[in-house]
Amino acid sequence: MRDNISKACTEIGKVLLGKEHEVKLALACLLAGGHLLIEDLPGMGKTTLAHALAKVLGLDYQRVQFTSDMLPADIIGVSIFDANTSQFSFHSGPVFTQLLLADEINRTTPKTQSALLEAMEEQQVSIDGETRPLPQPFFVIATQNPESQMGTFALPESQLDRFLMRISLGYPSPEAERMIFSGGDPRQYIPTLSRCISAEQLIDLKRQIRTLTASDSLIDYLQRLVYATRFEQDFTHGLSPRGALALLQAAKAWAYVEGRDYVIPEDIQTVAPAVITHRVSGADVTGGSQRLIAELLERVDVVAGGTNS
Amino acid sequence: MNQTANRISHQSLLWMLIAQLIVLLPLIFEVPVWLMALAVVVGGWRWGIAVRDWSFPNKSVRFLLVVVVCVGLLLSFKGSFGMQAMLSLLVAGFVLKLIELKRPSDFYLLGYLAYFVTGTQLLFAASLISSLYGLVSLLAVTGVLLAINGSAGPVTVVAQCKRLIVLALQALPIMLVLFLVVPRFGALWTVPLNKSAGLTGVSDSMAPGDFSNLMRSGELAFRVSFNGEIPSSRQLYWRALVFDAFDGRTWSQSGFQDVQRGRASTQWQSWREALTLGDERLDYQVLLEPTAKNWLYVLAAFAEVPADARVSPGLTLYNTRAVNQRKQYSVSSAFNYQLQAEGLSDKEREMNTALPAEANPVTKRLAQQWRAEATSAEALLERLLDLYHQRFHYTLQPPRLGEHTVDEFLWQSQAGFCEHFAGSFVFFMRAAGIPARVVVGYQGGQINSDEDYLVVRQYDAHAWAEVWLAGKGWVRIDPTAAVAPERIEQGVEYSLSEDDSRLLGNSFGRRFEFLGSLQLRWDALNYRWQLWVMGYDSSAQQALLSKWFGQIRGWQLALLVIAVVACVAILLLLPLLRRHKPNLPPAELAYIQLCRKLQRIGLTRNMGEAPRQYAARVARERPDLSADIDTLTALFERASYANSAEALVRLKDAIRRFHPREQ
Repeated sequence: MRDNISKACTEIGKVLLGKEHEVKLALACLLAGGHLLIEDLPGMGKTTLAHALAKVLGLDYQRVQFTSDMLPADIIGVSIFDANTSQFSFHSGPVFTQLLLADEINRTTPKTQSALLEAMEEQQVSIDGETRPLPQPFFVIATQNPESQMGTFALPESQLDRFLMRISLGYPSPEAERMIFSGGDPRQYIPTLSRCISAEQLIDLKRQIRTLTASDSLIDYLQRLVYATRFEQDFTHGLSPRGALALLQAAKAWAYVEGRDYVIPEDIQTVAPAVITHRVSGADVTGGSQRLIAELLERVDVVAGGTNS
Repeated sequence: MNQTANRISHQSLLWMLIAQLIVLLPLIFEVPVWLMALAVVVGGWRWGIAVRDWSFPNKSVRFLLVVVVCVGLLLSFKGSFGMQAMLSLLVAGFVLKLIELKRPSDFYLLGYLAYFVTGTQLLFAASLISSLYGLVSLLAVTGVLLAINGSAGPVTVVAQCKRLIVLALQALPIMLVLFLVVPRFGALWTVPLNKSAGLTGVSDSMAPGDFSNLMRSGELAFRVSFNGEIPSSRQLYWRALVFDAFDGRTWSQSGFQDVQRGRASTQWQSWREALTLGDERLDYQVLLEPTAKNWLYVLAAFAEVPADARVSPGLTLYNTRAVNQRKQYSVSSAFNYQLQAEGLSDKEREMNTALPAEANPVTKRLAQQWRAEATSAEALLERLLDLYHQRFHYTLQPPRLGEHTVDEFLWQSQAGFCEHFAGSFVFFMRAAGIPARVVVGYQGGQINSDEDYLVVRQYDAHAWAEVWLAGKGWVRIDPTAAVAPERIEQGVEYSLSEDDSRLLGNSFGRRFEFLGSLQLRWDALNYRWQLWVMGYDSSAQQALLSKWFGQIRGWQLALLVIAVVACVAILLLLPLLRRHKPNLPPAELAYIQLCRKLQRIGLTRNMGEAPRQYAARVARERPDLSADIDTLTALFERASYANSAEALVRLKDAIRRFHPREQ
């Protein structure tokens, strides 16, 4: 199973050059059963990553391009009166899929954004008083432009919390960029990517990851981190228990991707920026809160009492 | 064991009940029977509360129980507050606490109480067996406390026992040091032990038939080890009391000789002048079983008086207070001696020839007649002993004697044992005008060849006579030896008919040789235990310490004790002192050691630096350490984050052997 994961990484690496770390983070996020938010400037490869993930994970996927005039029914679906049968019949929207690509999610109004809320959290939707379950597994990979851009609606904090990780891709390295120049648009290769993991395997993996060992020492470290976000002045509000749990879950998934059965502090440190930044404050991912997290990781002792002050 | 909440698991409760049973078992004969029944009922009740969800008794029920138990104790002991009454009160509290056992804190209290109750076991028996049993009780109680105090998660019985044994072994050196060094104080107060009635032994008077009870007891009287060869049985007359008063039936001590009431307060010095000792000395140590009486047993005539012992005018030793605990004393004796050879005072002569007016007229008349016929006191003596030798026989079942006991014995029944012989002999002598007195004690003893010491049992009890002869002083005459010499030379069991033999105490052990030798071996073990452990008192301590540390003064001893106590206290407190740091898992402690070693060569780990980053930095700066630090980091990760016990062991070992040097 682990081979499949590294294979998936190399497959995605073919279309997203020089971004191995981000690709692995994204994979870990999905393996942990969490939703992924990719935030960056237009043209940095967000959609490419989302597409490539959907392809190698072998999931049914739907893509929705969010616009400012979209309504919730455009995502969830709508009941239409059928004159022949004299009954309302439900026409399901794009959310009824295993992997939903929500492109430029912050271009639409809060009303439509929050329609996704129930779907992401409960894995089900309610229409006309009827609850309909979503297929399993169900992931949302959303992309968004930085909020400073024109015509964006900042995602509400409650919805940000629904995403396990928020990552940004950043500019490619000079070498990778040269390869892009010579090879042409990487998106043309997406259809050629091979499927590495099945939907059933994904569900199984999610369960396996939950059982990874997180020793007392590690939990101690996690707690020291969480306490630091709560009781130190740098943070306006600290990490919630759900946030802390998300951090542990993401760290476990990362440990699994790294091929270990147990979690080490590095796992937490690696995933922490992606998991914590959008939870401790709504600040820009490239801005202040990321620096705060880096400082936090430097300040909190990995081994209790281990340093000699 | 469940210790998550303030609840007590069934398992730990069951262990506690078992431990309680173990602790209480030896006390079963010391407390009233109904208290033991109460213990069973309350134990069952508490078990019902745990298993059947019965409710805890409310306040009024508990109060009623306490009142009932207190009244019961008052009735049982009829208002006498001796040791057993107090012990019963303790046991009652110990038992009743069970129905209040709700929280772990109650559990601890009960555990500590159980330790105390274990200590009380030794009040009534201090043999090797009871000490071993006390150890078992101690371990049981400790095991229960360990179980409820242990780490979370189920623990197997084997693992639990292992921890218990480790704990006990750790306690052993502390115990030894405390045993050897802590000052031994004598009893600061004495608690009356309501047991003296049950003890057998030589009593302070002698009436016909008294000794036959003693003869039926195989109980231990005392043990003696000799410095040098054990003398022959014929010489082993262990004197304890001198009877110089006779009321016609019973021999007892006159006020002059009375050691029990402390009236025989004559100082040794004046008697030392009356005593002429031969050159040959015999040194020996006596370990006396508790008698609840104050006289001691010695061979005549002693040259030195043990500390806290007094000398009576009859040349016997007595203790200043009753021997309620096993007592050990050393004596140096001489077999050749003369006592009061210069003469008796008028008062003494009168006292030692006095007879009641009416008693035994026949003997009196014959004695006068024989005295007239004899040329000397010695000749008279010979004639009487000859009569014993010719006509009397030794039996433990003599016919009953009527009013004039000596008359009937000497001239009619002519069968009996030591007390009859000694009593009649002294009476006859006194009637003939020769000063004479009865001496009681033990004669002979059994040699335990395994350990080379002498065991004297109750059936070795004996009575003999002393007569005063001009120029010779007090001379021991044993009429029993004239009747049954084998009694004196080989022991009482050889002098009896088979029928009589069965009456003698401990007939079983003497009948079967194998059992007898087993018994001797066991006694030898017990004797060593008593001698070295139980007998380790302040003087033995002083001797040992001065042997180790040279002449030691009181203040030096005190300093030594303080030093030892301080060391023990520091040892015990060290873990507590360390606790101000967070209680770190062992792997992290080991890793901290590693970090310290690296810090010494200038590679300090930063706060937020994870082990691998740190390892990478160390490897960058010191490529020569790269392999070591990678191995150590990998081990630490597995030990600390994968909970691998095997990696932890290897990590500790590797860190111990890791010695980075500055470049």
